[in-house]
Amino acid sequence: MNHSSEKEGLCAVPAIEYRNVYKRFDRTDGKSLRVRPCRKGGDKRKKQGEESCPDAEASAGASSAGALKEESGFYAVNNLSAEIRDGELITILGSSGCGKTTLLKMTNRLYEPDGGSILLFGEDIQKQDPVQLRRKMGYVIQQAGLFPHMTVEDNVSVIPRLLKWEPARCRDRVTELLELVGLEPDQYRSRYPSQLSGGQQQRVGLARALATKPGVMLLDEPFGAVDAITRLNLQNELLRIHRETGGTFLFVTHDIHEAFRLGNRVMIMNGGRLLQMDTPETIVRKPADPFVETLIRSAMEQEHFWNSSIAFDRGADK
Amino acid sequence: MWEKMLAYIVTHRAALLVQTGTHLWISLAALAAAVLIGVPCGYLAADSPGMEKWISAPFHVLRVIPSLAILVLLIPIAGTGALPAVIALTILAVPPVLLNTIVGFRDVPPFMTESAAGMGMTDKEILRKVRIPLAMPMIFAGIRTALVEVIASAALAARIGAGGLGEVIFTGLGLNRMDLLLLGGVLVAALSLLCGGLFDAITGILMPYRNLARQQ
Repeated sequence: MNHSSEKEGLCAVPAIEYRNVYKRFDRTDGKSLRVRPCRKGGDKRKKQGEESCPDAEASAGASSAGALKEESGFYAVNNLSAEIRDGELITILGSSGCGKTTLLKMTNRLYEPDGGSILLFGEDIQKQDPVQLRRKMGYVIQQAGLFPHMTVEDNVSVIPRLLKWEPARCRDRVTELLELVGLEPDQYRSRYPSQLSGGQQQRVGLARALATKPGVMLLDEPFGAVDAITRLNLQNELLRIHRETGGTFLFVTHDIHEAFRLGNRVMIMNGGRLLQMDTPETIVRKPADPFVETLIRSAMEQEHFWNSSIAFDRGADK
Repeated sequence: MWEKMLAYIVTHRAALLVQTGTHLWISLAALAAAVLIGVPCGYLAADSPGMEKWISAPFHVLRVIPSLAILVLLIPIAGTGALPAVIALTILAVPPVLLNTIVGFRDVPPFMTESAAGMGMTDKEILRKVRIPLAMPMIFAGIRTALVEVIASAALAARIGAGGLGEVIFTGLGLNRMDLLLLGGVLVAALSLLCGGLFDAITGILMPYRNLARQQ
């Protein structure tokens, strides 16, 4: 308490603050997420109970050794601290399994941290009701997650309707949101998700997440499954939406170009640790870690490939 | 043969209508009971794999026993008439409803429920707004299977005096009259197909998005 009030005096409270956050995963953790029915979890745990000695890893067969390794657990997020200011667009960059999605899901309490705390505008999210917390945050995932049995209008207005908004207000909000994400409202509102392209589905997903004007948007590789041209369009739209709504955006991606293009600051993660968090320019100029350096070099090499093959093309033309 | 059948229909119009009515209500009562048992049990089983064995095993065992045997076995307990017939048909109808309910709830993609939770839906809201609607097509398919099976098997109910179109068939058997056997069989089959078709139409109206998904 003391700590946060001190901070308020100095500067504005950060929108999100991670303090020494840990998250350990093991097999039993699937259960903590009640919304996910765990399928074979029960059987597997039983089997492991029969084997019962973790030391037998070396002597056990290949498949059960893998299971034991998972059982022993690993840190998906390891002692991570960061501050995100209000109105920033932060991209979280890392390869798959680096903990970036875990970090995001801890922010809206889909996962609970095993240690440390997360503060939203100075308040510990652990002390807030998860449902109320999530309604203050927008959440977009790679698969868009639109409900196939609802029209675009119903999808976008799901939460407003649960909050018992007037039908007219819901309708106006849907119109506003569809315009914001660049979809002609009257053309798209009564369509079903299966009648939309992948890019359009992501737009609707964005609109749905923005429905209640959340202060924080969590985006988990939202453009991961769309083609390159659509992705470029969506990135531009996202930048515009961020400008227009003025919220704090957390954007998870494994694409370095996307991360550096969108973020006003980039968090680079590897193996559950935060390696560097800075503006794209600073990261390129002063990589703080060998991993970051390798990452940037690989991106530059790619760039080099494109440039050189264009040059080659021109040479061939002559 | 056809003339005989037509003549029978004309002379026994009233009786046939009553028999069709009885046939239908026995079937629908059994189906309703099966839905009331199968859907909640299926939901419970889908959420906990440990429970699934205990819930579905008894019905699998019961299903192996022929319906006719169940009917006869039920006589000392439930007597004769409509009640044992409805019980036997319910036992027949529960497994397809139960299994499809389990599969329906299991097949809801985890990212869908997670996305719903991430938006700030409570568990109840997720169940009501996402999981049940998404499991519904599969559950309805199970109910449809059960419906067709039950109507076809309800012919046996006549054996223990429950009435229905089975009476025509059993009369044919007793009198060794081919025309009655055939007529009974055709009528039962027609009723079964008709109800199946009707059910499909209702499903189509209730779930318009399914047809769209198929087109793509």
